[in-house]
Amino acid sequence: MIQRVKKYLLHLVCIMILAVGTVGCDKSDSSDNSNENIETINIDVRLAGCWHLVSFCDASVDVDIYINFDKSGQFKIYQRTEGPAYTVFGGTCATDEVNFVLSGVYDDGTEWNTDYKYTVDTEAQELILESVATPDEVSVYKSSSVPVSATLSTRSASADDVKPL
Amino acid sequence: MKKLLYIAVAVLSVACTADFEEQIVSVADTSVNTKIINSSTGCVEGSIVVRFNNSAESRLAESRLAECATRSGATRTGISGVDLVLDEVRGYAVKPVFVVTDKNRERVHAAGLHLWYELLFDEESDVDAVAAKLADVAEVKSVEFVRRVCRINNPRTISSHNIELSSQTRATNKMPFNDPYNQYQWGLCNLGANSGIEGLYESMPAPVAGADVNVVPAWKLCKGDPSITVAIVDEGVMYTHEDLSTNKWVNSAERDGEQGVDDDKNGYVDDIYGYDFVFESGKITYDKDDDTGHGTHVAGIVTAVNNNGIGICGIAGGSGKRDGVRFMSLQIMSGDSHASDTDVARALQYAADNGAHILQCSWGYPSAESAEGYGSAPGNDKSFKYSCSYEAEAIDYFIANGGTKDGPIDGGVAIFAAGNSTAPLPAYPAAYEPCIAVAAFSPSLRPAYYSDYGIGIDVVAPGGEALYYNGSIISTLPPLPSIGALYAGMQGTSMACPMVSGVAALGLSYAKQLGKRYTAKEFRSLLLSSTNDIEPYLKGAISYVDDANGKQRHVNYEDYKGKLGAGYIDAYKLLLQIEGTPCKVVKVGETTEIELRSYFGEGIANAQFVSAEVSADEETDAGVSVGEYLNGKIAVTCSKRGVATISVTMLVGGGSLSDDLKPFPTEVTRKFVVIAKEELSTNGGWL
Repeated sequence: MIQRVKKYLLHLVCIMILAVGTVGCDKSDSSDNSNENIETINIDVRLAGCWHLVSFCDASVDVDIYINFDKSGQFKIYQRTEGPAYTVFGGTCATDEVNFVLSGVYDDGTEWNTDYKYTVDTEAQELILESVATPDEVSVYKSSSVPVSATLSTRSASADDVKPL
Repeated sequence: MKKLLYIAVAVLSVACTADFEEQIVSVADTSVNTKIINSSTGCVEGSIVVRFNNSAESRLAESRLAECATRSGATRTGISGVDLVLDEVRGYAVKPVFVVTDKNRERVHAAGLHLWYELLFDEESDVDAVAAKLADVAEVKSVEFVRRVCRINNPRTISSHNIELSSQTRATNKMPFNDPYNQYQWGLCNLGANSGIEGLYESMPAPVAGADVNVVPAWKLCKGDPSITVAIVDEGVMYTHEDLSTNKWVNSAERDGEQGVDDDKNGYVDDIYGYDFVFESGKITYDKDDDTGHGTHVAGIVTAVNNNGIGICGIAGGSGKRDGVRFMSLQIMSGDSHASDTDVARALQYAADNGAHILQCSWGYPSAESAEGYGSAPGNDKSFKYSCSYEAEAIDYFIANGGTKDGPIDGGVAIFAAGNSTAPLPAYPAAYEPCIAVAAFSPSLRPAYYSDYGIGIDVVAPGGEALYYNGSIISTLPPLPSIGALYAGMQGTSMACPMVSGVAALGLSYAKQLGKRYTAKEFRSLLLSSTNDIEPYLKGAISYVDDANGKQRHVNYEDYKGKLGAGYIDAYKLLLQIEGTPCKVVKVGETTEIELRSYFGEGIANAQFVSAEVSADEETDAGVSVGEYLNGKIAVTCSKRGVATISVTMLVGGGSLSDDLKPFPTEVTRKFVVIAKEELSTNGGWL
């Protein structure tokens, strides 16, 4: 009997040691491991990726406006709205996943012109943003990738190079 | 250490012309004299071209002249009046000027080209008398004497330098390819003070960084596409050149077919890499005595093979994986022999009928305002179309029918050198409205001293200037005894022209890759709005010694103000414009001034506004109104949320559509999308 109890207690101690060891190896608790492998997700993960504007207020558009959302809540807008070269706007955004509202602030501190109700259709690979301030102002985006030219800088000879003769 | 022979040679191939007569043709006037289009001075003996009236078509068809695909065999027309004349002068051949085959019959007939015939007869006959008799025949619409294209060499060998090929590339060389001579190609990438370019005379302006076609960033998007073909109408191109061979166009049906047979039934035999229209042969030649290498040099600028460890870079030469655009050699000069202008017309037709997208033509008539051409060359479109009728029609045919069915352009783009006569008017055909006329600039972004300019110029590109050490345009050459190198420098609008052809070819390559398709006019508009402003550089003056005659010459750059078209070409801008329709975001209810420079290129200052239009539906749906054009801007107001496309048309190149005594300006139309939102971010961001 006593032998059986001792054996049972030994097993119990082993189990407890095993459990503590397992908990002790939890990365988040380890002071020796870095946080590099931890993914911080601050927005609805369905938004993550690049989206290309294809429609505005029910009208199809063939323009170069791309929005890239990072899971951490960073965004970048690549837009060709001032001539042939892209302009890039970066910032941070957040989602209210109860009301499905997206809001954001640019890196220069400017807030977005409005918050947006968002809908993600993962099957159609579509993102729909509806202005909160102006209901019915709806933009539709298709899943895409950031164009190469959006990441290049333009260069042209400027008048500053002119030297008086 | 290798040496690269540098020779500054200005070459422009110019048609030897009979005197041009600027006649205003009255439609009602059908007198014999007005049927004879040009003068017989300097013409080809024993040859006359006639254009029959439409009414003669059925009788010509009956005589089956039109079915004569190889242009041999027929000696009479079936038109009795004409045949009687031929009997008198021992006529021995009647050849259609343009080739008609099963493949092209419909479009050749639609263009009326099937009504042109060349009549060959005894050379002892008085050609003026023959012309008068033919003009007397009711079925004859016009009579023209035949001219020969000839070469004018201006060997302005200012100096001859042997360039030491450095074993080390310059640290600042930004070219992404391993072609060893690319560091000398300032026309593709000008490093300014680090370029190794120096003026040979005092007070010459320094080379300017960025004075090039801006192809280096463009190459990150596209380097070429083998489905795009550029027709090099010139001396024969050395298709076996070590730095060109991979990118030669190949007619595979002829290559794999039977020698001496028109395997693909396009009207030509053994036309594997193009065709020699001088000797009517499928064999292209390029290194006879009196050949200059001009055609090979021009081809190299467009599509020398990139990244193959040898030679130079071509603007659309690919990445080294056999992916450059293709050159098609259409030979109109061979040694000391030259094609007639009927052969030239046929060469232009060949380009259209065999899938060329771009016509690259570094040749033309003298400028009407040059010392050589004054009073004896076409100075406006009407004169050109009248006195060079079948050439003009051949150009029109190419623009309407060039390209391929599944390609990025419906039709073709015709690009011509403006001329090297320092004249204030470009030469024809360059100045002909449907063509793109290219002037030249130097490494200092000033107009090259030799370049024609003025009304009719569309765009400027690097042409080289031998007044600078290392200032010429380096490209490929055949191994001519007079030069002895496979690469050398030349200068001229002949070199500027293929710069634009290369940029256009690169643009079409990118369009192909993106699945885009344009009309010829749309693509031309894109090309001519992909420019930068050259006006800020038009200051000051230089003096130099003309080696041809030892005289000192003076160039005042202020004389060129407003006379260099839309500005200097930019390859990267073109590719960006091809990517997508530009867009402007405006606020509902507010008037927004839109700067058109962004959409028309920096050369808009010299352009004339024509119109800004919105479709009626969009005008209603988005409540769009467009205000007046002022100082390069238009005002746009949208009363509702929505989208509208605004189409803006400008005229480039100076002149006026109502003044037919000068070259016409070129119409450029660009579209951009306006999106009207209720609220905008204060920093311009989309959200």
